Amino acid sequence: MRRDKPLFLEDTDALRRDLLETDGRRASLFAMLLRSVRAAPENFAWHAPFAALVTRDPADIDAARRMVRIYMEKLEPMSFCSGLQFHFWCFAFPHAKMALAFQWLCTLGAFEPDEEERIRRRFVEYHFINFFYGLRTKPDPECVDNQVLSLALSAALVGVLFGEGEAPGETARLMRDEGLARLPGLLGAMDPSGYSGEGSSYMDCVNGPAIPLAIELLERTGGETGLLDRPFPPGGARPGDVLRMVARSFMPGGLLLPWDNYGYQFGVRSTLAYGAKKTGEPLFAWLLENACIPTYDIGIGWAYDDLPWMLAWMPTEPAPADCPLAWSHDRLGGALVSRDRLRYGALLWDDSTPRIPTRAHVNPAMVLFNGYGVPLSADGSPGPTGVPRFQFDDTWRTLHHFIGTTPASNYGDGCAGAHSVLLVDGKESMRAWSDGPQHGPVDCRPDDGILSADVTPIYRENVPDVRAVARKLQLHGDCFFTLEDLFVAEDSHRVASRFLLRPEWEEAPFGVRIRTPEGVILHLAELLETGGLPGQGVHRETVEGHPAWPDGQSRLVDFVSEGTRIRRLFVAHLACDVSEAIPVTGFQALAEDGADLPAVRTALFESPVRLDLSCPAHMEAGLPVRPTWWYGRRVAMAGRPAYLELPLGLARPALFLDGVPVDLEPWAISGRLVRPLVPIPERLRDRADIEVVLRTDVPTSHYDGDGDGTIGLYGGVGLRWAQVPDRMARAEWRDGILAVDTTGGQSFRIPYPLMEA
Amino acid sequence: MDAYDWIERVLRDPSAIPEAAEHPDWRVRYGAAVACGRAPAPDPAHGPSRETDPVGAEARVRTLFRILDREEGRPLYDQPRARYPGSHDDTRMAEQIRAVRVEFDREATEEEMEAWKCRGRVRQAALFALGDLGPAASGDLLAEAQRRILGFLDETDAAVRMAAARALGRLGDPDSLRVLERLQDDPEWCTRTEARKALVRIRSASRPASRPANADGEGGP
Repeated sequence: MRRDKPLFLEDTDALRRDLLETDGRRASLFAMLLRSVRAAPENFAWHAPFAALVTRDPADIDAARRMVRIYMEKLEPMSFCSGLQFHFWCFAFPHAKMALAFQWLCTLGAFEPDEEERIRRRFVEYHFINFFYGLRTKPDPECVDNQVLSLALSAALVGVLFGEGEAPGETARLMRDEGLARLPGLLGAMDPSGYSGEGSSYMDCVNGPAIPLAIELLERTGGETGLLDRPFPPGGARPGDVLRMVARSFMPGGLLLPWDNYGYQFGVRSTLAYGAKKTGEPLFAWLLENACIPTYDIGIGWAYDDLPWMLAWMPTEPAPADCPLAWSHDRLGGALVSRDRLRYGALLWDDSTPRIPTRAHVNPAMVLFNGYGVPLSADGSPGPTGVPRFQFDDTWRTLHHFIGTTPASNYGDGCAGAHSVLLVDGKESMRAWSDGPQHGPVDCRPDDGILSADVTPIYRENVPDVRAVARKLQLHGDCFFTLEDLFVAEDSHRVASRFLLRPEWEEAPFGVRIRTPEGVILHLAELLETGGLPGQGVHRETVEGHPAWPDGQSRLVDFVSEGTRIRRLFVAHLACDVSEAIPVTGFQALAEDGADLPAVRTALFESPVRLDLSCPAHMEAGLPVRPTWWYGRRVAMAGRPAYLELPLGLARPALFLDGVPVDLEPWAISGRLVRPLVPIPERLRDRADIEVVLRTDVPTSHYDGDGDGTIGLYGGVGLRWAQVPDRMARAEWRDGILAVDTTGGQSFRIPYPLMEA
Repeated sequence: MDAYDWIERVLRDPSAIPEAAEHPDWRVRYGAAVACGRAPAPDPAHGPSRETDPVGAEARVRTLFRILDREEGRPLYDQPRARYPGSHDDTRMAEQIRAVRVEFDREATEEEMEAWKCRGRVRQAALFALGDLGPAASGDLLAEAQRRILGFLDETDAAVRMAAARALGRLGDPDSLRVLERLQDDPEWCTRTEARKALVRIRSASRPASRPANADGEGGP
């Protein structure tokens, strides 16, 4: 083991200078990390080694040393964990990261020689017994996924740490050689798009964060540089494209594409920071600055060290002021985004897993909308108590992952019916059955606002007489989208253009309209209705329990007709009926566990502590880590309909307006992903000002999210006012001309030729 | 010497394999099985083309038989159920740096506890090594290797079944084809994949005139 320099962070002097001696966002975020580590080191243990390495403060080193000792003590009882036996990759990666943290601490002289040797030997033996074994379980070279990437990287990392430098071990060298032998092939065998097909969660939380460590390790062991964008054999994939794909999966507002059964979730930061540092491409830095949540604490590679790695790699230079977010890839689909980023539409045609789609869902030209930074489409899986709307008899899988039980899960929500796609003859369980192609020719011109795909193959696999299925998404004038569907078959079929949307229905003069609790409106109008065809109509349904997030329900609408040749042309118009937020800052704050408002009010308004609710108090101002906080201040009213926008990630919140509690149940689920927008009661609008008191719990440790991560209160409070939305007033297609007028006076006359059959 | 030292020794010095294979600690036997499958180190005295193997391939195969014999009768898959007050028996434990305490739903012997930690690890390593070394054996020894590997195709631990499938492919006996075809319905992807590779390998080897480029079964999917 090398004891002179910390692996990957060899230039600690520069790191210390950037984080301790300069101003700017990077340094302020480190200060936030340091405050939480110092306030509760064992609760934020994954941040402790980095803090110690940067500060070299004896107390920080002591805290980090304790963390390694606790981990050592965990190893023996952990041996009996079902997770370790059946999901060994999830344990291998954090084991290797802990070994890395140990090496960092050894460079600080944190351990006496006897203890250092004892720990070193334990790291190696445990890895050899449990994770080297696991790596060899994965077929080489066929297995290419987040699991084997974690195992190979972990073996290589532990092997390099303890197989080189002082007292190198043979066991470590064996693991190093095996891990380093497999890593390049794994990187090269990834899909050339950079997307592994494992959904946003595994892309964002495992594959993405593994790439920087893998590249840094390969460059150090092989003596080469520039590996991030070098094509690796056998497939010629470039690891940097994994980072780019992670970046592309961010939507405006910071949520990732709901690509798998986990649905919407926020993205992590370290992958973007590394991409920004190594490529200089503006998208990474822009997202890091504008789309990421600094307080988001979720396991990356099953360790809560995303914030430290972000700080390690984050450029010190300011992010670019603007950056286009539109993207496309022939194998996946793409996204069209207006210049102001308020209108986002994605069309995805990535291949799904044949037979039972687990992570790679059935997305044959699935459309997805996001407006004003808020998701409008619904996707994901039901929660544990959700109603099984999309479960089918043949989509059950038995999981051999626990001793004594073999639970079964239904993966029906990966099938076509749970997505905004074309459905034939009501076949919601439609999916791929073979390894053959699932789509045909595509047209990717995101800069021109056009995406289209021929997805005939997957439909023909399910309905043999199908001759053509195609879909085209187009963004017009940065204002609205069109979505065109084409279906051709030899026999007559009942064909639905399905949309799964967020609640709630809203009355519309034509078409279908929803308005989300955040005041964002999606109006869908179908323009080619011919009327009178058998079975034609619009079917609406409220789907309770699906998906679990952000609303615990969704609104399903099918535009249905029957025939051998069916065309539809939709206009999708997005609007918002609330103004932009005015920040409300400077709340008086008080930590008071379990008290009610009358008991706490006096103390709260006598509190000298002033906070902005930008993040938990222990991060914002170095206050103690306490689970429950009260915030209060008076807020000026303006005599018109107003809304209070609350921070993201509130836990067990209570809101009092002029002493009267407000029912926050409508935001109980969505508040994790979208900021609650609470209408201020009419009776209070005419007051000069009102008293606002907010109580919320905040995470007191990495683990409060029980594996799903925590937001930890983010974004502050804002005041927003009702505004008249610029709605779609008329939409028509005639003789190749698309005409769209809005209530705000916008008028579009656009030549729009229909797709050729 | 503790288990770590033994593993270090057996990986560095193949002559320690026979002794390590008899060691009461399964970790050491695991190390011995892994070491059995490793290529002998080049002998610098005879240049890069010559290798020295103080144990010899056939002796390694017999050692692997003894290692597998030792696993017979161990309660590898008959454990008490574990519970972790304040933590989890699943992947959430991986993320947590917390002191954990394990409780079991019944009394268990030390042997059972060790077997629980071991499960199929030693068997997997021995089967991998048998697959690597088997082709160097012949006659009765090869037949015995084949017979023993076949005995693990219905093993509880998928990591063992996949190792058995891979080993059969390496041994290349066409008599394995029928059981390998059956393994293609195995619930675990790893086992199915190794079975498919083994089938390709054996079938290709039995059709030398039309041997494809990836006949060793190691090509792309």
